[in-house]
Amino acid sequence: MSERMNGGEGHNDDDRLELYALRRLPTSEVEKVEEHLLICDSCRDRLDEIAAFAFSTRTALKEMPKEQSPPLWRNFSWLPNIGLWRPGLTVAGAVAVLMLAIGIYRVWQGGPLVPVATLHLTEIRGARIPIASPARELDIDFADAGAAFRVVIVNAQRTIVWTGMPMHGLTDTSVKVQTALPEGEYFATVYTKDGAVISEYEFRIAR
Amino acid sequence: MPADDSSAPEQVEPAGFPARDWAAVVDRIRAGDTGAMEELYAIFARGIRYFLMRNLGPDDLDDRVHDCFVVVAEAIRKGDLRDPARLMGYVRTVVKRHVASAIESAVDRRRTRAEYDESLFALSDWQESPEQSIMSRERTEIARKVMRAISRRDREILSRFYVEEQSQTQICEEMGLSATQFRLLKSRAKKRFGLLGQRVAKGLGRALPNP
Repeated sequence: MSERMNGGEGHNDDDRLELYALRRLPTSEVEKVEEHLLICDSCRDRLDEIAAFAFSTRTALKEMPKEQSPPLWRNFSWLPNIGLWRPGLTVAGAVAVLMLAIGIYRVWQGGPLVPVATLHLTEIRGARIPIASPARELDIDFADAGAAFRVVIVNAQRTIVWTGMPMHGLTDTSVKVQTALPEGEYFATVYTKDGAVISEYEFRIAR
Repeated sequence: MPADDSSAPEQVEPAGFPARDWAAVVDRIRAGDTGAMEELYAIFARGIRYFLMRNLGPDDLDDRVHDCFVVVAEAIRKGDLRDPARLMGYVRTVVKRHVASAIESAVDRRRTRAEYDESLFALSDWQESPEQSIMSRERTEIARKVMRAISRRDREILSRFYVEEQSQTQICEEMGLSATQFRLLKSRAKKRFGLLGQRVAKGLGRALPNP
């Protein structure tokens, strides 16, 4: 008879329990996890907590509108088909194409601004300079500014163009600059509550 | 961004589980030791109950636990369990068979599910009680609040993991995150979820039960 001891292999960590709850744990590991769960109250309790969070979060996120922008081609892929198999819509299609062309021309000429541009700043000044298009609102995420209390943005002439308090996310800190910044170089400085500089970033607004 | 170990998420790593000598327990049961039977029941009953509840719901739960235990005890007594060290594996198999059998019976009636899964952890098709449904809705509402309060980037990270089922490695590569940052994000979101849950439970004068 085997003298092998079982049940002494330690508890499951949270990552493993989460993958198990989400049914994404490799089949080869499921057996081991379940054998331990059969005899371990604390791992079962943790699994319940982890599963409650995972499933609720998944449901909540599924209900939210997808925020990633779709590929550009998807927005225009219907255009060539209209005139081909629905002649009645040819005029409407032509008008749409014309308006689109006018819009492109106006933007090219420095016309209307896009509503929102986003910037994710992770590198300090001097590294590769991130660029955003001119927009009516600029959303900036600062990846390494957890203790940020105030953000000040100055232009190349060191004139303050915007200042405000950031919003703190889970891995980043963000600001919404609801001012259309003209094209040019900018510097964003992030301060603590005591006025100490946490980081300084450089970015560019350009078409 | 450098990984900040001081703010690393709390990864629960409880101390090791005390080892059990299953061979000795099995030998005692074979020798007719009723104390060993009680010990075996005390060890496994809650775990068996947990998986049966997950898969089949609360109906006849006590009877089902008892049925599974009887099968295990009989197998031990008859010497069908060839390797006592594999006792846990055997118990798991018995529970899986019981679940499969119960589901097959249900399928005969409803024709909705023909096979059972490898995993015993199921979002089962048994009907939630009204109170459980309310709890589920409350938890989802709490998750909505947490998701609304975080940045777009954080939401995208969580969405990639929980909705699109991307791996941690892929998400970290594509979103420029370290493994620590990824865990930290999930850990903080869970913490907010837990805190909000406690507040809601306090307001309602009870604790949120497990799913």
